[in-house]
Amino acid sequence: MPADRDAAADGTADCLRGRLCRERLDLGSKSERLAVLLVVDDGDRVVLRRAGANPFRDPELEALEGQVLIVEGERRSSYFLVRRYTVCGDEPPSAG
Amino acid sequence: MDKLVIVHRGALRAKYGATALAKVDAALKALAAADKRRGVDTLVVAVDLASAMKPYGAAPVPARPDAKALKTAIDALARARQPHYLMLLGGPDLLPMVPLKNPAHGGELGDEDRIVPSDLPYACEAAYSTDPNRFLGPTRVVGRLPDLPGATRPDLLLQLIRAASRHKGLPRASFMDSFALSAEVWQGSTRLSLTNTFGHADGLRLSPPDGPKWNKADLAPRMHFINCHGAADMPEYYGQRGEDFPVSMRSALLRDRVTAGTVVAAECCYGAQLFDPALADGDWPMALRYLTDGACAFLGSTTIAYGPSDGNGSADLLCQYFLQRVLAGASLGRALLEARQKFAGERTHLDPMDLKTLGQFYLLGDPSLQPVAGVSHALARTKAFRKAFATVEDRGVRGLRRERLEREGRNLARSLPRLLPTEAAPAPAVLEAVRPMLKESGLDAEHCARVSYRISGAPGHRAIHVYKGWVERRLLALIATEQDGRLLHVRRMHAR
Repeated sequence: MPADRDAAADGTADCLRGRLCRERLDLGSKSERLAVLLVVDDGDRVVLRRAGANPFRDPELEALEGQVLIVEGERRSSYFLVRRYTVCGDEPPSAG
Repeated sequence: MDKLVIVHRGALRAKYGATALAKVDAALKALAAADKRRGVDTLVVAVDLASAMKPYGAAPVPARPDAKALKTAIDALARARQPHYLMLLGGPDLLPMVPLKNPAHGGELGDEDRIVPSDLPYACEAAYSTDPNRFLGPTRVVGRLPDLPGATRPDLLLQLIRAASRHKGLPRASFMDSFALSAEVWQGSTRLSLTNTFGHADGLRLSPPDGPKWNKADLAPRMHFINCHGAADMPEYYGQRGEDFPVSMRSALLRDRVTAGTVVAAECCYGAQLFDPALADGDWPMALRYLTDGACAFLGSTTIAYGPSDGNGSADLLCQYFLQRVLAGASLGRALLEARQKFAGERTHLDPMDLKTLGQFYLLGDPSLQPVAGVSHALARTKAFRKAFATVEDRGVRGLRRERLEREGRNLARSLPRLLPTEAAPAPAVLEAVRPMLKESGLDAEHCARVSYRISGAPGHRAIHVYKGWVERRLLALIATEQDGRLLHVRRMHAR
């Protein structure tokens, strides 16, 4: 599991629930990559970055593609920094 | 006046305290003395003091500095004093950057950056705006000597001011070796950039397999060219081979390994982003680690950058032009101004990615420093010549150079066409020509997304239409340029 840190120390702590997916982002730029996103209940798509992990490739989160997750961490300008997460399985987000 | 140092005393005092402000004042006094010995008259201007700004007919920048007020103040100072160099003292929390709208943002094809923090507007005569189209013609030599975001002690700022005071130019031969690092997938592009700049690409390091532990000998060359991935708030750069993105550089591993006077150009996304180390578990941004370890200049990007894997474009060009001008003996600030002008000037119009490139790259370092010492001609070494120009030194010739650069910048500002979003559909002839190309690419004109721009200022009616859609789970774009109702040019961009 990811490190459990004090999220509030670095920014505003937040918690999101949604289904994890992978999409190619920033097409044609030097940041083009197959990124990990969370599709939250209201349809918003939030780029996830796990604290301490490589921002371009994170096999731990990638392995959870299609799963419903609750992520805790901080919203930053262009991504959500994941400090901790819980896998809720593949139930639909609205069910829980 | 040769050089203006722009200072916000209130912001400095609020961040570091009154005692620290006195230390900064003393360091700046020493810098002005050092500049004097180098033939540069320097004036420190506190833009937040009404008494300092009154002679220029400008209002002081408010206690909580904002980019609009700062831009207005700088414009007034530049008009009145026509400085050869403008140096911004401190990072964006002391002197904010202008939040330009990102022309490449939005939609499936757009990047994630909503804004592009930029120092480019401070180098332009156009009034404050967040529209990047307003800043196509830079005329001023501008650089930023940063401090550390979130710091409570001004140690880094003092160190950098003192290092600028001590700086001495070196012969060109001292800069002909380079430390060059590329993501493996971009090696074709990097080799071309290096060959254009140094005449060869020998010694190019690739990631993978190289890095991130570089030793002192690896980093010893005074020119560093880095073409890797970068990410927001990260103290690392990354290589790439396929879907593998290993760390290629880590800021903490640079400590005690950089040669004094090193000049760095980094193409990486967010390569020169200044962030509070608290956001990165205490690790410093790469640019600040380079500077504190001895580099005199860092050219890099605030946001997501662009460049092809093979051939050169966007970030490749701006970075190599900068290094080429440094090698030619330009001051750091002039090297960036000339690079910007060359980049903008050799295009008929700037597409959204080029427009972003022009705004996102900025110089961290004292713009008046000249890494490659000039070699004077035989006449200049005579007693009669030295006597005739003893009081003005290089000032007169520098003034002539600025005159030329101002003219070039104004020409660009006046003549470069601007991109304006438009709802107008492509002309029937264009659609007819593009439809089969879309079909061959796996797209359907009626069902894929389209974004169009009118190119204002180009001859006749010119527009760009960007079609985009998913093909076999990869995004694909077809970019068509229309001229007077006919297809002028088309290119296809694949997801890599």
